[in-house]
Amino acid sequence: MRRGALVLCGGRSRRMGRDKAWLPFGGERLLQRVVARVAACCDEVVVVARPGQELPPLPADVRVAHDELPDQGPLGGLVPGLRALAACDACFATSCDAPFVSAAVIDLLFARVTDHDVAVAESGGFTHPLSAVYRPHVVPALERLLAAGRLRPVFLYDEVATARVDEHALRAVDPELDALRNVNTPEAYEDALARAFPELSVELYDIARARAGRAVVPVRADTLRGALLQLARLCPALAPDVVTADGALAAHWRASVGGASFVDAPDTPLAGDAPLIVISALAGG
Amino acid sequence: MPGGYHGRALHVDVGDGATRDLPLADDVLRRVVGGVGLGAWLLARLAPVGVAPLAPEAPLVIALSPLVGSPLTTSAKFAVVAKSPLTERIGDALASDRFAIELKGCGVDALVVTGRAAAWSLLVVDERGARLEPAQDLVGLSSADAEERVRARLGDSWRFFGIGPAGERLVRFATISGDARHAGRGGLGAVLGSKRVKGIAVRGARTCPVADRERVLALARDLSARSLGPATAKYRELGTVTNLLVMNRLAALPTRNFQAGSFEHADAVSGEALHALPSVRRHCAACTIGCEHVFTTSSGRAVRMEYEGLFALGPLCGIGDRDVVLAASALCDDAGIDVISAGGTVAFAMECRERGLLAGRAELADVPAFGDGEGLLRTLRRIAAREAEGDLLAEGSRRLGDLLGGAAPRLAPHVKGLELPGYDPRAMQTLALGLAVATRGADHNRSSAYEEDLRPGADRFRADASKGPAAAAAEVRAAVLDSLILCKFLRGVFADVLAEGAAMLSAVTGWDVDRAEMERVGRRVVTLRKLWNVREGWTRDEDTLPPRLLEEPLRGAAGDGVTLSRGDLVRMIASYYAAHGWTPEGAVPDALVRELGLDDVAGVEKESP
Repeated sequence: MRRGALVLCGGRSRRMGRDKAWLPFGGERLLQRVVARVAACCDEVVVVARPGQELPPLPADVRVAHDELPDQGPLGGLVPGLRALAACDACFATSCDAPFVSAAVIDLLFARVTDHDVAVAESGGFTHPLSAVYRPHVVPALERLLAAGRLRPVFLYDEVATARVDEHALRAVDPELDALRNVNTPEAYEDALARAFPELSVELYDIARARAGRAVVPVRADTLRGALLQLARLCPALAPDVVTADGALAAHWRASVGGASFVDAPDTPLAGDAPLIVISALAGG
Repeated sequence: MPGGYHGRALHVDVGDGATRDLPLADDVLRRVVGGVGLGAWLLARLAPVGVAPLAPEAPLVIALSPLVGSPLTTSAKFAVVAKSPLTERIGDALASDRFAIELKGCGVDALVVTGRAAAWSLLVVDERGARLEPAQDLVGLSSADAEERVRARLGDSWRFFGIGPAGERLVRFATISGDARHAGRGGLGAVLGSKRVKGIAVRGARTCPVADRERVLALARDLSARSLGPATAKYRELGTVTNLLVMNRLAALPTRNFQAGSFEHADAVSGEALHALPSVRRHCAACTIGCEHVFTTSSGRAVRMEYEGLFALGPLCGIGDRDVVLAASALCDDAGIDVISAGGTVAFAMECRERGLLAGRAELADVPAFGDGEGLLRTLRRIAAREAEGDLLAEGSRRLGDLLGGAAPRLAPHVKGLELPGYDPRAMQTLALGLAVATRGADHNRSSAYEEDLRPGADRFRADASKGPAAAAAEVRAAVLDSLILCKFLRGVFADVLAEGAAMLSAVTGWDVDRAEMERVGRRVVTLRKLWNVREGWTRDEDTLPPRLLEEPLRGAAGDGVTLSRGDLVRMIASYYAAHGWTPEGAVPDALVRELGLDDVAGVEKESP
């Protein structure tokens, strides 16, 4: 079976207050993370964005399709995505705000779609249309529903052959149902960070401290880039002179893990027991 | 004559008031440019071999540069060069002030002072020449007060550069200052004091055209714009005092005479604590950066403070009281003494007291204990006055250690007699190398090699042969900046200081200078100073660090237990000598002397240039 994956990111992120595709998560942006995770177990990936939406850099083989009409919900995003993946046998659909999407759940859904048009995760009495696998040939049905203004995914499931993958089956491969977690609010985002990464302290010195207005900033990260992305998010006054928007130290700044040697490789591993120390490279008097 | 130069130095013998012109040939100027380079060349040509630093015949050179008077930011600088009474090696210090512009307006590229006046005098220099005026009324005044009185007497357009009471009393780490900026290190104030010259007043309006005015203006506009960018934000917003907490975190903050690399009261005396006070920012003349932060104490006194003074009068002496450190800094400014050597010498005496090494020394009975703020202030006053324990401490830590003998010399925090700046060498081992080999003694500004220690991937706790080329290259860059002269706080602004320096020098002078020539200038100036030290008795053993730093592990959280062994230092020094093309013993081969065009100063005894 040729597996496709489509990642929807054209939502308005109203509750989050900022574009979720760009939220830092570890050393990546949320969209980059989700794309990387689905790409690891699918043959082809398409990102579905709003027309004109600026996206974080993506691998060259990831294509971008665009929503044709605004505010059509997940069904509206599925159509351009499935069209772009017409050569695939089936396509996993997710959104950019699902940082814990996992190969285990994706494999499970592909396994269940065999004799169906759709395989959708279900838990707590709710279906999860963006934790589901769709056959590309459901596009005409989706178009009819959209034309009729029938935007709820359940209308599709009633119309085509749908396998509902229940909570018991999901928990067998994902005991905490992490793959179903969406990051819709700042609180959910912080919670997701806390689930994914250890807390570590970033100690700020000289004008970094003055501009941030504090000496220590707790962040959730496990790499240098991840920590610096969080630092830029939590202390906007540090960008661009101290930390660049893409999670690197600006010229004339240095970072040290624990105070011994200095590091600059973005994937430098960090652990919670050693603070990250940010100082000016211009040390002399 | 190339642009930016007058092609002459003025030599004044204050013993008889005689003056003479010293022509400076184009090829000499092109070889050494100005600043410390020109100053070292004049010293080498004019100082008798083995001259005593405080002897009348010992020259004091004030060297300008072709950039002085140009619109290039931070170029209103000058170098003061003499044989240091503290180290008996070359002493070169820089200062920034409109004094540089006025002196250049007198139609000279350098001023050389020798002799000893019959009575305290003011050396007055203008476009007509130089003369001596009585200055008995200025004796005992701080340099700042003397400056005010001189300008009231001569006119507000005059600039003054002079000594405080410490220079008059030949304190070996006395400074010379003007407009609150000090030529701080090496005791050059004692040299001027030994000539019974309280200060030098200058005024001049003679122009000195540059070769390519439009090009200079374009370069100046570009440099000024960049000087206001992020590479200097730290200096503008907080000043160097913010280094204290950084060094403390890196276990590099010398504490209680280098017994530890971090200080438990660092927060209380940090730059951040100072910035809780009202403060204003000041600019040197012709500077767009404005790094100097002046803090107003609770008593209403305005005190300028830099990191070096903060560390030396604070943690180094175990002082955790911000008000005491500010008062001590003000006292040093008024007396005209170098804050680093003052703090270093007092801290050394404090440790000697703590270890019982002062027992039986009645004259040292009042040496304070670590952390005794009132005691620190009292001793600083006595150093300036050369009273009681201050008379011995005024000799600096090396001489005090030698006098005490026993275990004391190994604790004295100096290299070649110059007290160490605010970076524990064990915590920054490339800088350690730079401190060990610098020609003027333990000096951070002649190499600035700490940048290598902070380079990602470098191991600042490890001494290895890679450090030699890094320290040598840093010295070359610093020598270029100090000869041009431009402020080191611009170093983060330059992508390539040698290439940009060459462009500026070309535009000002009209010479076609490229990066390679600029690098050769840097190597030449570094080697020239070394040759002069060799002439004055330098031996290989001088390139080292205080024994305690090579025998005791560092104490401080981030670097606890780190060591720097004598063997490691020797290996680094060997790699440094090799990087400069010197012999394994640190001598300069004749072929290199010829290659660098230093034949006329290598081993030359006194003769007219």
